[in-house]
Amino acid sequence: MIKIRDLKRNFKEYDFEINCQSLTVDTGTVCGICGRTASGKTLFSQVVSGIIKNYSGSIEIGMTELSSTYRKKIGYIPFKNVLYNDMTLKEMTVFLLNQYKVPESEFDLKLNWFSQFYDIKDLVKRRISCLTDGQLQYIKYFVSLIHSPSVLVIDEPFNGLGDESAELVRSLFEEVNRKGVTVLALSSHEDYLKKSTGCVHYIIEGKIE
Amino acid sequence: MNFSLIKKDIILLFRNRPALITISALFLIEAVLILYSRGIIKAENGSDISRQFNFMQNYVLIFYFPLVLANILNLSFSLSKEKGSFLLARLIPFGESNFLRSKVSSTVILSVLLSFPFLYSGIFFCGLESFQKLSFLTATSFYLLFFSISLCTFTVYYAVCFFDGDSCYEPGVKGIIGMMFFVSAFVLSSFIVYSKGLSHYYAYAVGFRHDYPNLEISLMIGTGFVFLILTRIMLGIAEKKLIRE
Repeated sequence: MIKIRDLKRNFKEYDFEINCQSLTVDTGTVCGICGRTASGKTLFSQVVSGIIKNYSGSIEIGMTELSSTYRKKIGYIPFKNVLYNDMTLKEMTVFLLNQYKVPESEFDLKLNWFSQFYDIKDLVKRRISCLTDGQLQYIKYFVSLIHSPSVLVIDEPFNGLGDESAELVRSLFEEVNRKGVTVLALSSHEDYLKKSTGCVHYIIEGKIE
Repeated sequence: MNFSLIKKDIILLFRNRPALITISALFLIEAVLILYSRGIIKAENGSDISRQFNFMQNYVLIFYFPLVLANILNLSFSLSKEKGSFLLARLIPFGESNFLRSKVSSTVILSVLLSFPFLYSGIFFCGLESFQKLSFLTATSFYLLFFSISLCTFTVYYAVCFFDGDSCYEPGVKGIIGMMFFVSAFVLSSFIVYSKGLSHYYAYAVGFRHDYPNLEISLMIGTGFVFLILTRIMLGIAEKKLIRE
C-alpha cells in the first residue's frame, strides 16, 4: 500500500513545487497518474520512490514510513535508461540480485516468469546498448521486478512501446497485482493509462488532483 | 568489501577498447623501460651506489604516471557510466556509499597492478641491490600504497563534488584545470616526501649512518597515512553529498 499525506517538496532550481494532499493506493492495485510534459510526473515519482528527499508530509509504504533502508521494497522504473550499457542483461541482473542480497538462482525463475509476457530469453547475453527502445522498456520492467518489490513506481510505462503493448503491460500489472505488488504508473498517455489501471489521478503543475 | 560492485566497475572499464589499448600500451612501455634501464645498468657492469639511487628516484617518478593514468581511466570509462548522479545506486540499500567506495577500490586495484610491478621489477630485475632490503621495501610499499589509495579516493571525491553528475560526470574546463592542479600538487608533495626518505636511506646505505633511519621512515609512512585519513574524510563528504541530493 502507498499512503501519501500532505506531501510537499519545493524545487528551487526549477521554481516548482510538488504538492499532494492525499493519495492512497491499496495493496495489489494499480494507480495511474496522468499529466502533460513538465507537469512534475518524474519529480513526483522520484519523491515517492525515496530518490528525492527533504519533503514535508508523509509517505508510507505498507505500514512503514519511507526510509533509505526501505529501498528493497521499492522497484522504480525511471524514464531514462540507468542500466549500464556495457553489461549484458544477465550480468546486469545478477549484479542487481547481489546488491539486493537475493540468491542468483532467482534469475532463471524470474526469467521464465517474465517470458510469459515478453520473451527476453534471447536477449540475456546481449549488451544493454544493443537493445531497441521497446526491448529496453521490457527489460526495465524485468530488472525492476527482480528483487520482488512490494511497490512498483513506473515513470512513463509506455515509453517506446507500440499500441498493442498497452494490453501486454496491463496483463503484466494484473499478474504483479496478484502477487500483492502495488503499482503506481505515471504517464502522459491518458488512454493507455485508463486501459491499464484501475484509477487515474491527474497531476497539473505539480499538484496531484 | 562488495566484490560484485568491484567486478561491475572492472567490467565497465575493460569493455572499452580505448581503455584496454591504453592499459596494454602502458604495460608495454613499462616493460621496454625496464629492459632499457637493465641494459644500461648491465653495461656499466654493476653501477655505483649513487647511480643506483639515481635510477631508483627515476623509477619512483615514473611510478606516478600509471597511477595518474588509472585515475583518468576510472573517471573517463567507469564513473562516466553512472547516469543521473548515481540514480541506480539510490535504488539499492546503502547504494551511494557502496557504489562510491567500489569506484575507489577498482581504481586502486588497477593502479596497483599497473605501477607496483614496474617498481619492483625495476629494483629486482635491473639489480638495484641497495634497495633489495626487506625493511626498505616494506616502508616504500606502505608509503606508496597509502598514497595510491589517497589519490584514487581524492579523484573520486573531486569528480563527485565538482563534475556534473547529471551529465555522466563530464568535467567542465574549470573542473579539468582544478583536477590537474590538485593531482599535480598531490604527486609533487608525495614525491618530495619520498625523496626525503630516500636521501635518509642513502646516508645509511653509503655508511654515513650506522643505524637504519627508523624515525625518518616512520615519518614517511606517517605522512602517507595522513594523506589516507584526509582523503577518506573527503570521500565521506562525497558520500553525504550524494545521499543528500
